[in-house]
Parts: sequence; C-alpha cells; structure tokens
Amino acid sequence: MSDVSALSHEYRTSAKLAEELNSGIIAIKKARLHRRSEFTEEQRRQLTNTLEAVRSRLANEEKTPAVIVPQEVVTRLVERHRSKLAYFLEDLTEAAAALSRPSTPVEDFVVHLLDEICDVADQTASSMFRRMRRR
Amino acid sequence: MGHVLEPLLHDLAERFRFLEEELRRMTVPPEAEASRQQIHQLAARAKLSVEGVLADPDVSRPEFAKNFYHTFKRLSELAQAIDEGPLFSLSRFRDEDRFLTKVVAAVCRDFQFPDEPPICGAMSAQYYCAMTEMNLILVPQGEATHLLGWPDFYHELGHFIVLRNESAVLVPLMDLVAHHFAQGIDEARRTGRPEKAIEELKTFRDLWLGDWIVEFACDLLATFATGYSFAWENLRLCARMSTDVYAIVKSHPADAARAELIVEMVSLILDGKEKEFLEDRWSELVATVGAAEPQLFRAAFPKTLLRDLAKKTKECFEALGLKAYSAGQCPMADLLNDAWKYFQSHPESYADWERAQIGELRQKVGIND
Repeated sequence: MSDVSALSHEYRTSAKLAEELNSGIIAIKKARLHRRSEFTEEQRRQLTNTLEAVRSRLANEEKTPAVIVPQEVVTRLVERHRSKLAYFLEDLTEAAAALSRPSTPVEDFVVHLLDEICDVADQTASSMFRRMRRR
Repeated sequence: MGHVLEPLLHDLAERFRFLEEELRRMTVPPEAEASRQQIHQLAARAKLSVEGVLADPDVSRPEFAKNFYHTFKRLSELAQAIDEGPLFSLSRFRDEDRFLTKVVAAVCRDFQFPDEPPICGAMSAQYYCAMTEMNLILVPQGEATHLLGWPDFYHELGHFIVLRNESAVLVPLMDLVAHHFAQGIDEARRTGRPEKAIEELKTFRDLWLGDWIVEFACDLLATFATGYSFAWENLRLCARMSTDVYAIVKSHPADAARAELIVEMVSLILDGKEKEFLEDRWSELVATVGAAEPQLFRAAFPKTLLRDLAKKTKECFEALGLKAYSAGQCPMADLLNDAWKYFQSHPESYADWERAQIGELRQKVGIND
C-alpha cells in the first residue's frame, strides 16, 4: 500500500540481478587470472540468459524473458546508450552468442559488457534502498 | 590487504557478528520463533560471506575492486535491513504483534498462501508495508484494534506472491501488457498519429512494465481473495489519501485505474449486484472530489487491457493453487466483508460491533487482554 512495498520489490529484483551478474563476473575474472575453471557451465548459461533478457527488454520485444530485468535498469541503460542503442543491441547479441559457446575463454568485450550491466543494476538497487529510507 | 575496502569489511563483519549474536540470544513468543530462526540463519550466512571476502586472496587486486565493492554494498544493505526490520520488530514483539501475526496466518490459510506466513509488527510509520526478504509486514500500531484496513494485508501478501513467483505471475502479465502496447503503437503508426502520441504510449508501456504491473497484481490478489472488502478499503484509502484520483505517477497506477481494475476482479468472482454498487459509490466519490478524467487517462489505462489483465491474473492465481473468495469458506475474508457491510449500514454503532468482533477473535486465537 505504501511506496515502501513497491520500492522493496524493485530493490529485491535489482539486487538479485546485480548479485547474479557480480558473482558470475568474479568467477570469470578468477578463471582468467588463475587459469582454473572457476567459471561453471551453469554460470555461463545464467549469464547468457541474462544478456539475452536485457537485449530483449531493450528491444521492446513482446515476449517477456524468464529473467526479470527491472524497468529501472532498462531505463538507465537506454539513457546511457540513447544515441547508439542499435549498436548496443548488436553488442549484446554478439556477447550472448560468444558466451553461449561452452568451454571457450570469455573475451574482454563480454566482461566489459557484463560489468556495465552489473554497474547499472547495482546503482538501481542502491537507489531503491536509499529511497525506501528517504535519504 | 591495504585496500580501502578492508576496514569497511571488518566493520561489516562486526555488525553481522552483533546481529547474529542478538538474534541467537533473543527469546520471542512462539508466533515469532520461526522468523527469529530464519533471520538468525540469514545473518549467520551473511557473516560467513563477509569473512569469505576478507579471506579472498584476490580482494585487493584492482581488477576485482569494483566487484568486491558491489558484494560489500549488498551485504551492507542486508545488515541494515535486518537491523531496521526484523531485529527491531522481534526485540519489541508485544501482544499486538502476536495477535496480528496470528491474523496474518489466518488470512494466509484462507486463500492457501503457499509459503510460511510472514510475521507482522504493529510499528509502521509508513502505513502497511511488506519487507519481502525479511518475511515481515509492518502496519500502524492502531491496526490491532481496527478491522476495516485489514484487507490491505492481502495486498501486502500479494507482494510476496508476485516476487516469489515471477515466472508464474509476473511474466505472463508483462507479456499481456507488452503485447497490448505493441499493438497500440503499431496502430498509431499505421494511422499516422503524431510522434508525440507514440512516445506517450511508450512511456505508459514502460510505467506498466515497471512498478504498475506489480501494484495492479497485488490489488487483484487482494480482491481475488477477499471479494469486495478490499474494494471498499481501496475506496476508503483513496478518500483519505488521494490528491488526484487520475494522477499518473511512476510508483503507483492512478487510483481511478486501480478502482476500475478491482471492480473487474469483483465481477469475475461475485455477482453483478456488488459490481454495480461499487461503481456507483466510486462515481459518487469522484463527483464529490470534483475530479474529471483527463484525456490521457484512457491511453494509459485502456479498458480492454484492464479487463484482460483481471482475467489473466485470475488464471495465474488459480494455476498457482490460490483459492478465490467464496462466501462461507474463508473465515477471515467473511469477517472483513461482514465488517464492511455493518460499517456501511450502521456507521454509528460500528465501533461497538468491531470491538466485540476483535475481542472474540483475540479469544479464539489465544491472545487475551
């Protein structure tokens, strides 16, 4: 009934997205640094699904992806890439395709893209958390 | 480590040690014990996570700095949320909270809420609100002695259901909204409507896919499970708090659209008489406040979309195994419907009737004065 419940919901979905991306990115970076397979196939699948979901929401496709991308995250990404959105969508498609190939090293451009989306999800979660407390 | 995060992580580990210890030692009434255990485990796991980050050999490497900072932020938010929510509530858990927690549990049984019922604290400064991650509902202190606002419990429980069942509830509803607006935008382009009108449709679509769809789904859950008492409570809340029933704001759909959608759900589960009565009273309220429907209102809240949304949401709730209101089979919803009926037919003697009902209910659930 109060705005707190709505903000709490949006906080939870943004924080969940940020956490999933962040733990995947840490695993990728560790695997690259230590040359060990700390990045599992399950994490690879999850991150691929997330990239595809972000692309689908940014492209305003009618079919809602199974991974929920909060509208605030979508809005922030659109604002960042407003003039070059088509290129950003292409980058997302390419990154999802690259990531979906099992057991291949993850390229730098994929990590940068994941980092960027993770940053935006993190900013959204932090902003919701603050708004719940009216600071 | 020698990194900016190091002292902050030690501070956070100490906060979780404090929270874990407080929650471990705390003695609470039986109604709150499951919640205490759950939050205690959450704090204990979070403490281990912070210690894990502190022990990570890569934590001070520059290429990981931002990622571990993100981890620190989420865990800090969790510590604050536990401190401000369940720890605060559980450490002051009084008879009013015990009573309302039992009321919430009875409400959950009424419509077959699929999870452990949340606990309830009568200590909110923000009207009714749900802290879903903490399995906690907060309400103003006076709610333990007043029935008319209780249909809002169902709305708050809706937040738990929507968040925990995204693929079964939220995704199909978002599909419906996205499809509706895609058709509207195509039609606007085909008929040569100005670019401004198309941009407005896109803005409304984005608002729907943001907070609005969640609020609508929670209203629909409350109506689905209570019948008409939520519709009356919504009308009362609008009369008390609305500044403009047609206002389009980001965080909540317009009050008039919510009222219309609630009536749609009422007509799906009850007979037409109730629907007409509710519509008449709503029109009366709108006329009393002197509000007029602005031109954009229908573009934002098309009648067909509201009608389809009510139907689709009902299907989703039924597929989840939730039980729609049926007179005589849902004791809490029956009580609330009776309360609203009595309130409208005997407003002068309602307070005495309500006091007696709450007294009986307290006896029944074993919370005596």
